[in-house]
Amino acid sequence: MTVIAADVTAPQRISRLLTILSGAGGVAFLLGLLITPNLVWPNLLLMCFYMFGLGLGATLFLALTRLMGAQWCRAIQIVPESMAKTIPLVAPLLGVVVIMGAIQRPLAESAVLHGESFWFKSAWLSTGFFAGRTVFYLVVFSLLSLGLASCSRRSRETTSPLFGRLSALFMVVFAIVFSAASVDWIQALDPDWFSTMWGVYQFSGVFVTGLATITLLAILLEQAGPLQGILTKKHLHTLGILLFSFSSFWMYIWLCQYMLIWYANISEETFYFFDRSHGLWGPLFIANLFLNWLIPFLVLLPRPAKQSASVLWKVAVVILVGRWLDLYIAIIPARDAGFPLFGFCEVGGILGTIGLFGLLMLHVLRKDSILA
Amino acid sequence: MSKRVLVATYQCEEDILSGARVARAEGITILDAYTPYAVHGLDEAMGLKASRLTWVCFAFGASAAIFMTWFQLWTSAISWPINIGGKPWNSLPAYAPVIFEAMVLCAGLGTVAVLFLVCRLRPGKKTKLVVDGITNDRFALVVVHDSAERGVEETRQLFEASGPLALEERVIDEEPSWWQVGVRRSDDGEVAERGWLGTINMVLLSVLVVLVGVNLFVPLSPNETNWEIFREMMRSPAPGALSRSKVLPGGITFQEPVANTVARGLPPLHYDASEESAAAAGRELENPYRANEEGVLEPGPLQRGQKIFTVYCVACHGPRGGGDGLVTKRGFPSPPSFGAGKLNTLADGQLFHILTYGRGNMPPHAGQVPREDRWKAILYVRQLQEKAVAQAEAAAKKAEAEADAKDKTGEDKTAGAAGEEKP
Repeated sequence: MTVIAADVTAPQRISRLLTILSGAGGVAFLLGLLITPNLVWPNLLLMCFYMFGLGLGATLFLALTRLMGAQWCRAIQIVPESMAKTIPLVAPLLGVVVIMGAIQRPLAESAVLHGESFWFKSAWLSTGFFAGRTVFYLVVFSLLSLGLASCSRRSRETTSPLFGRLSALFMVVFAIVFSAASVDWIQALDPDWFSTMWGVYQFSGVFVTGLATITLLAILLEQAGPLQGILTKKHLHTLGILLFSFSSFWMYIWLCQYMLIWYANISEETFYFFDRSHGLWGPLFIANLFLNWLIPFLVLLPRPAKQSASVLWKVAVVILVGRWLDLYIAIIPARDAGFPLFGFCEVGGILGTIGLFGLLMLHVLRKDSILA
Repeated sequence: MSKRVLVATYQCEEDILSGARVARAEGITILDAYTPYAVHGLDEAMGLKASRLTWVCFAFGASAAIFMTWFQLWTSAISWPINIGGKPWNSLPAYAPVIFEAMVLCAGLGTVAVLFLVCRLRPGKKTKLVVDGITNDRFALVVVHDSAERGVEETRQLFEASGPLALEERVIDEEPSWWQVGVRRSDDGEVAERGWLGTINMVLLSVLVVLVGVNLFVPLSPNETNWEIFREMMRSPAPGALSRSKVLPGGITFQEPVANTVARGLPPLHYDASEESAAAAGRELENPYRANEEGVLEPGPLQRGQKIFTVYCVACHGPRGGGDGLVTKRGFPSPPSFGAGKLNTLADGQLFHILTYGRGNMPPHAGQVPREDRWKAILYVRQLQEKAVAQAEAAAKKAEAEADAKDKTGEDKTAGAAGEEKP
């Protein structure tokens, strides 16, 4: 922690570090293009969806706390606000990656291949409609997150009913649009597969990573200055409770999806889990549950752990790694990877995600003159 | 035991917080604080240690989860393996919901039960408010007022600074222990009589509980329980197959099947014991166990047929179907041999008819031998017939060859004789 704190206290240094990370990510991607070109696109998708999810989780946090009438989060409100403002910056990247993938390998064709009864699916996934929908989702999320962030900022000076109304609207829109978007972007990589739990499953992942990032950034900003003396043990406790409960919620939803498919044992559904739990994927499949639930659950069970910054930031990192693994297991096997390969693309993706998201956050924080 | 205490009543939570801090700073023991709602930071101000109830909760949850995992494993994989949808007996994903529910239930109820025990709360307990209004808008702090060390006025002045609405000195009694039910109080709250009556009552009650328990759980006879937990599982509400019935015809639950009922897997045979019917069966029925197109017969049906033959047919027909079974040696008329005569010309269907309805001295075997087994026995009979015919042919050939040889040697002999005669 002290090392990170030392770095954070000098924003110029951290900015340089993040630039180097992004650069390293870019170089690794170029190498990946030469060596394992078929893994480049899935990793790009993973990276963009991951970053987009962080922003979405923060926007959800803003809307949820507003609707609950929560006051405690006022102290750390700048963190989710800044995260929400990265959505319009990540959205074009995600849009380009998703649409490029759909053009390069039309999903509708693979849906048609396996049976004539999927006419609706092939129409739904036809490239034009798919691209149009993607743009729509991204525009909706960008506008709403920007609106919510600015409402939240203004709510500190004046009270306006707009924030509450926009929050309520966002909840409804998020429920519908995010379910559709996660199905389109991730689940449709396996056009034959379907899970009615997919939307809520992705939501649980997005929200818990949003919370983990808020916790991590709040602790960092406390060390760096802007939140010094503002972030107290009580805030950490509440963040810890939220992390603990939504990590368990993720596990609950994961089991709901897994157990229904395992129990029904229909071959159209089970192949998804079969591919992802056999061979070299097996250990990763189990590690996913450990990282996303068991470790955070056991570590955060005692009350002092939920109040301790040094425990919380480690748990937040574990959850963020778990989320990466969760998406990795979902995305990579859908694109012809017979076994997990931790190569240039993966390293580049992770470094690039950290670097790029960090730079975006830094940009937003500087623009709002929270950081020098 | 009675204690001298000081009750400080406050109007808002900041005041009780500062009152609690004063008490701690001065080393005055705080007995309790009463507030209309949970006041943030009061536990710290009072210097309360972290509650050990969390460990109770954890222990309850963990032991329930472990027990439920073992219990499901034991019931569904060890004691009584149940096949559910072809899943493995030991199916952890299916256990998860039950483990989870049991864990939550035990952790919740157990913690509440322990909390009640620790706080000496019980149903019907009469609570005495320390100050009227602590359930509404007042906050009360109760501290031990140790007059030996500090004077009453001194303590009073200490608390005056925290701005209490009222400061009151009182003498309170220790809570009687839970088994001392018979404690009597006089009107002013003093304990007038701490009799043994309550303790005796509790002992008698315990004896009663033990006796009832023994009566419930120790069975008098090994075949019956004293206490039927699930009556409908112990005694079926449906009547037995052959019990008396007041509503059903015949006064018995067992009823004739409806006319034209067909048994599962047994399409009806429209034949009778007559000659014409036997001929019809020969034309219409075919053995379902035939050799396939390449002339290969699966060994299973034939082996089964052999077994049936050995059990039911050998006694009369003999081990090779020669009509020389044991009973024929005790005077029973001998059945015709399989290898000879008319039996070879009968179709499979006719043989089936004989096995089913009987012929001549042979009784019907439909009652002993199931339909499939009859066909399999016929399969074996056919094999015996082939062997018998082959044997008979071989014997005939041999006889013929021998006869030829005889003729030849006879000729030779005559030739030899002639030769002998020649010189």
